[in-house]
Amino acid sequence: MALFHKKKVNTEINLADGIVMKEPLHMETSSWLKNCMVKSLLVFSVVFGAIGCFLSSIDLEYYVFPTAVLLFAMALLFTTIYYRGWLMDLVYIVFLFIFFFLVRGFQPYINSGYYLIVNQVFEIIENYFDLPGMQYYEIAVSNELLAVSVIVVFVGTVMMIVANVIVSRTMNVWFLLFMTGFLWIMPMYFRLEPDSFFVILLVTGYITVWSIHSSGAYGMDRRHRDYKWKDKKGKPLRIWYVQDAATILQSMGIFIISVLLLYGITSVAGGKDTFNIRYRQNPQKEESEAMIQDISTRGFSMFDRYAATGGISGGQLGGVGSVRPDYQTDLIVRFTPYSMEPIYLKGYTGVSYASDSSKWLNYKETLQDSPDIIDMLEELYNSNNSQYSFDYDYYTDRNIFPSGLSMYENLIRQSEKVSGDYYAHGTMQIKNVGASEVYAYEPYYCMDGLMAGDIIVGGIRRNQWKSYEYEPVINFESDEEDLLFQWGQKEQAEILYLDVPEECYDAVARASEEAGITEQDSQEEIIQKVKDYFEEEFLYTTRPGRCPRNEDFVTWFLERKKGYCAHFATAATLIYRYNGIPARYIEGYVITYEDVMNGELREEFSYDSFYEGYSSLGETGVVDVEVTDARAHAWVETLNPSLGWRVEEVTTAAIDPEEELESFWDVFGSGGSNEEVSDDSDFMLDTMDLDFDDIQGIWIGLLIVLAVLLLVYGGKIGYFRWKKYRSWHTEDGTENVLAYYQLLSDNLRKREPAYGECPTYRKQLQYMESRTEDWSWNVDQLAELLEAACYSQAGISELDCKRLMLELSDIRKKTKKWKRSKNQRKPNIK
Amino acid sequence: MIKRILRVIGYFILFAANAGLLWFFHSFLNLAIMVVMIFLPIISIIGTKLAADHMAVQWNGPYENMEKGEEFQVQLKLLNPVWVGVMNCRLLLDVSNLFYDTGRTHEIRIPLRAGKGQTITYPVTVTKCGRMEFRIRFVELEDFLGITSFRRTFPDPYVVIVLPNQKAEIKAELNGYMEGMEEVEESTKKGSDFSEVQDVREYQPGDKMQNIHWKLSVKKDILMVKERVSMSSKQLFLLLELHDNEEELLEEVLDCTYGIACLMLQNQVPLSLVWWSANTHELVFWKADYPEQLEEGFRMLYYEKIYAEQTLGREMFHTLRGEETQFLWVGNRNFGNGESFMDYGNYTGVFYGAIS
Repeated sequence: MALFHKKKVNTEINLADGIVMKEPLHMETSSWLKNCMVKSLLVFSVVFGAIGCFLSSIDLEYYVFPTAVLLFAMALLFTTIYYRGWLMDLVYIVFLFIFFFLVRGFQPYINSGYYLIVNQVFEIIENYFDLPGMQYYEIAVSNELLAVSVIVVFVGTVMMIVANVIVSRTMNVWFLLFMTGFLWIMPMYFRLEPDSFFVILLVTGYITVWSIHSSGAYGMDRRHRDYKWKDKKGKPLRIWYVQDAATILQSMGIFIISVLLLYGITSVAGGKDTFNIRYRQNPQKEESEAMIQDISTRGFSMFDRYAATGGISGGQLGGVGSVRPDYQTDLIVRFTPYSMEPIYLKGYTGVSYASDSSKWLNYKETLQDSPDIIDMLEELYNSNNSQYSFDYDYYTDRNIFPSGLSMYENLIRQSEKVSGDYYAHGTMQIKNVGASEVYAYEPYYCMDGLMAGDIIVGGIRRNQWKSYEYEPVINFESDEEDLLFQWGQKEQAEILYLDVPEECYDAVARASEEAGITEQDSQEEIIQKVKDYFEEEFLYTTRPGRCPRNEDFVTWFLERKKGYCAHFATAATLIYRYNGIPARYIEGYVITYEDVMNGELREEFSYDSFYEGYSSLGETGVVDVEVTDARAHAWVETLNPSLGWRVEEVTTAAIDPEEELESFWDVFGSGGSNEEVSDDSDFMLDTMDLDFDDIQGIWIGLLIVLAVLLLVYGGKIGYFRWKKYRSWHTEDGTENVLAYYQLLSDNLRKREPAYGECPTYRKQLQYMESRTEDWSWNVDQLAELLEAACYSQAGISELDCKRLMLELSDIRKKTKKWKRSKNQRKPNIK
Repeated sequence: MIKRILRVIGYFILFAANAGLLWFFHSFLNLAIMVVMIFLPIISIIGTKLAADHMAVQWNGPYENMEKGEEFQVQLKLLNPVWVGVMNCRLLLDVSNLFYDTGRTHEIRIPLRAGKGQTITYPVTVTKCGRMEFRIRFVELEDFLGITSFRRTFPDPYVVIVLPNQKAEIKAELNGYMEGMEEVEESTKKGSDFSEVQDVREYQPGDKMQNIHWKLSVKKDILMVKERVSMSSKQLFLLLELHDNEEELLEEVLDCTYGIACLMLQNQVPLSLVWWSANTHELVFWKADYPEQLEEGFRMLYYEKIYAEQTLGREMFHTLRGEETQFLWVGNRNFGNGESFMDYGNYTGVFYGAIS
């Protein structure tokens, strides 16, 4: 911490006995500013070269020139401030603040840029290892080039800071290789080659760093001197220049030409294509690939391939080691709260479980996958229901999904409760902010479901609103059991929703047994027993690990007994089916009462226009609830003979003790802006509109930084004080006296420059006498003792040492009481 | 040397690591890097050898005599006419005071720019008299990668003579000295002028008014002065002891001698510097009628060897020239005859006359 450390440096050098250099030696070296520029060029070539190698290898496009200019500007900033210690400390602190705010402001772009890179890497990995069903992050911004450029600038800036410290302090190529090596080595694993330009930039940077380090001329001199020196007794005086931009540039020029020529010759002689034709897979690499594949399928994956934007995996179960929401808003739901119960928004419906691909297939996929089912449905429709004929093209050509409520259930409700006390009718408007556009996110008991039969058509496009009319069932009971089945639904449900694949049949049967389910149990009892079984025996975790490739997802989960909602919903669905209850797997969002309470009250909308009828909360108001991807959820629907499809919440509340409670970004606020992201110029204004309650993490971080600084500062002061204390606590009494007097003198010299002009002990003591009001010591005596201690080889007696120490200690106390005066005249010392 | 070996080992490690990556990944990038790593040392070594073969050295500085305490600049130019710069040019320089036979070696590492070279300027202040020598022991040019170097020697040194400070304040009783001389008799005959005119020249600032040749000046319409030479056959022998010890008395003896000599010359008193040469084991007499001769005398003096005995010169003078010969002895006060002619500094006393 250069801010706290200022040391006077003696500039006088003795070249020989009687030959002194009082002024600095002069060499023809470049100015410090030129040195900074060259050093920044060096830092830039290494960092940007490495980043460029990586991005060109994975074939990801971005704004190369503006990014390079920005990064070079950053490199120049950091190398320049390094030449002024206090400036460096100050700029780093200010930069830390600005960096935090910029990260917050650009978070959507940073996230998207990061996801783009990760998606690209995933795609490469997927293709290379032939991994099935990789999930990709959804990108929130439309300008992908800009997103990648932004992440490159941010990551590059951090790397620049580190590289600058390395280059300024040690010029060590090993550290730089350690820092940047993985960026260009990693793509090589997948047989990807970077662009020649970046290779030349990077290699030239490495060689120049090596060369400068070898010359020893990399030390920084904050007083902008041309050289440094070391003058130790018994050793030759060593003087070496600090840096010379001109020579470095000349060397860099030679290196660039050499690398360019050699690279060119290699390309022409060997040729990339010719070289690759001769490619033979290394057996060791093959082994490592097999090992990586194995590891990646056993749940130790370094890839969190959770679709953070949108939160719905579309029935995909395998290949995910952990989930980590980014807490970005996916949906905005505008409605009138009517109950404290959770509200489920249905997205994806899993009809049949495909064990081999660890996936829930939707209606269309199920029909495509199983011709038998089509036959059975055709037969069913033709025999039982003459009103409806089964049209395969209708069901498969459109993007269709079975809804949560069948037309029959609505008929029941209409017939029973339209005029009843608990009847309610509401409007719900849903805006898609960051969720997948494929799904409709429809609330239960929706009128649209009735119009489309058992099918919901289409999703909600990004940044668009969709309105639903629904009739929430608040306290609904019915004894009508036959209504449902007279339309042939029982048979259809048995065809579609009772299948348990062979691969997991035994595990499901075992789990059913462990849950204590018997043949005598009613449907309600079975449902409850499964819930209890999960609650007692299983743990919830967002990091369950990845199911191995050749293992069944459900079997694996039921053995390990820990997982997240998708695991529980899948297993429960199959257990219910095993016990004869038609059940299906659902993905969507769940809105809790807590979310509702945190929602924004929209007073401009009237309650009546959004809701009429019974409400357990009384007359509330219209609220906008922001639903983040953390509210993405999976649950089960079971078919109740009298109530239709009912939501069953089967995920346990028992959290795995090893579960990570907070991620890094949790500490530093809850995520990015909740406003929609656009690429226009208003973006910054929107996103910089921060709620300071949300960014308390930043303050905590800054407090930590401040605490560390104080600790370092305190530690440094303590260390120097300890060193000073040790200097006058040696075994040699005479040395102690002189050291103590030296400290006293140093202190006085700092306080009063006039004291520094007193050349001898006597004059210094006379000065002290003239400045001290109640001086009671004999100056001559003290001066003689000090002179004897300093100049006499024998030193002074132990008794004199002790006496002198006591007296000097008293004098020190007295001198502390000296009053400062602006008009203080210099004491007259003769 | 150890560092160089470590660098070579480090380079081999990097080379091996890259070869390992090439073997493992079979990447064209690694192949290209390997080619670069093979040929770059060759380019680096050839380039540096070229620079070493063509480099030249040039000293610049004040070749006239300098005074003690005066600041001056010594410039060392290293010329590199070739197109290859050198990041690390190591010079081992000896800076010594040949008179005192003291010196120190220092090492300088500088860059040598391509086509230009480098200039090092020493802003030097000399605190002792003597013959100062700046000599390059060798120049070593290291290649870019720091794995080898080429050495050149440049034997020609740069030497500067440092005279004592002319401004040394001497408190001397010159009248007393004059009274003791035979020239006093002459002065009574010739109106206190005991010299004869040897030459007439144009006036120069600093010339005494009494030396102006008024008649000639009127005739030529320009001030002319008479240059005088002592008529006396007896010169003032200024004997100085070239002894030294830890207290560095010799510096004060030199200062004192130079101060007296300058004072004498200013007062038209001719003198001869006398010292005992430990090199040739004889007394050296150096006649100094002008300041230039005095400076030359000191230049010669700086080639002498210093001895340890405090009064060796005086004793040898007595032995060789007899005790009757008069001289002014400059040496340690404690070894004089107690009659102080003048004082200089805290340690040195000056004594006059034949020691009987």
